[in-house]
Amino acid sequence: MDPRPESLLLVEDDEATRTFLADNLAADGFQVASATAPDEAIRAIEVRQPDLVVLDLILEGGSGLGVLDRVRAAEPGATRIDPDLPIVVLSARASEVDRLRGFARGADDYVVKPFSYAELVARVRSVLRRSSARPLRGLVRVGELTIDPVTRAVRLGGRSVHLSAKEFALLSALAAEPARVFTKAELLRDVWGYASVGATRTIDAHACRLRRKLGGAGRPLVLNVRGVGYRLAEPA
Amino acid sequence: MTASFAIAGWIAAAVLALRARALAGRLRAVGDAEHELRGPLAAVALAVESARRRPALRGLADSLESELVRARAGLADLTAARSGRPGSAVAARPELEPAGFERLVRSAAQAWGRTRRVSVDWRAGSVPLRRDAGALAKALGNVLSNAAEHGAGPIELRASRRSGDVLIEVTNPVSPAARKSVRGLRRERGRGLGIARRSAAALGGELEFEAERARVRTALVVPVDG
Repeated sequence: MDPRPESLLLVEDDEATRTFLADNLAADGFQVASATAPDEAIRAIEVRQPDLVVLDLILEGGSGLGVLDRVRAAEPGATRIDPDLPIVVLSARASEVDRLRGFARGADDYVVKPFSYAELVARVRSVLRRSSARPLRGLVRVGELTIDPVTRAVRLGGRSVHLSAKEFALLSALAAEPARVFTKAELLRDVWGYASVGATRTIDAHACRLRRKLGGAGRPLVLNVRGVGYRLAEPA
Repeated sequence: MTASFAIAGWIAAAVLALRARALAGRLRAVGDAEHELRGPLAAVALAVESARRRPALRGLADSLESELVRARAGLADLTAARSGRPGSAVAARPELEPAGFERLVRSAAQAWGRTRRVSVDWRAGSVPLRRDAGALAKALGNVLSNAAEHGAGPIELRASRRSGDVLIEVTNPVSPAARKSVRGLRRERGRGLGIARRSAAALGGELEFEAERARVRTALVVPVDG
């Protein structure tokens, strides 16, 4: 099965640049959505949950720096926006001061217009590669599993899954870093707030129930790593 | 006496202030022009990239490559003029991989090939250019436009190796109008060849220019690394 194409949100108000850049990025295998104004960009980030945003700074009705600020200030659990969402700034503002300002406000990279398209794509891929191992916040997607921290809704392959508060917290903790094995001590500390590691049967019981509720996909999603702890299964 | 010195000093200060103001205005105009060019140039480059993906438009896209490199070099010149630090702009300019050297030369020829017959005879092999690609595009563009504007008939472009250099020779017959003034023809004319000469110097090379009654030869000598 082909991996899911990486999704990009292109925030650019110049129609020619937006059209041709989207055309080229789509031809290179990215799934591209676009927005032209700051508010539209924030809505698109919340709804579409892109893997990366390519952000122009001079936009209709405001500055792209405002979008950067709103993303970086997003509170996990209170919004669907991931504050660590990778953002590559694309701007005609070329001075050193402008570039430093972009980085200071939270840009992962800053590309000055006019740019080499090949270099832009290389930079986008590089930022995506560096960010792929980051803990996920905001609306979390792991394969077919979606966790919404705002509504506390969990869906698996389009099916709604009802979880208790502790099961939800346990799943959120595991999904934050899907490839990592969490020790039982870590989970007890982060999910239950226990300082000691005595109550491992509590975590085993919750993990067992979680595995059963998420079992509809055919293979277990919550894996027991014997003698260590738990992790999520790799997405299919 | 003291009053005369004071008046002279005041006049000198006023003249300097006016000149400083005029210079600030010019630099602001250069900065505005530089900023205004960035967006459109980015859009055109993306349009060319899109065209390159369509077989029917690939030739057109290839012919625009050297023109885009040249335009970006012009923009870098504006940046350097505004900041007064030409070295920083040059340092940021791209180098060319071996295949890119020949491709850029063919692209420059193709750009003129739409209005003139331009033949390319590449005998320089695969050579790297670890220098400013923008300077090469500017030199080539101006040499070819000079040939097209002041010459007549087909333009021949021949690239070969001479010692450690690549020699790019552009020759074409002289137009009847230009032939009337052979003395003028023997002088390098205009801004274009001046830019070509300075660009060649920026590459560490030089520009050779020979005008005869029937033919003009302009050669760009570009040192290469290996």
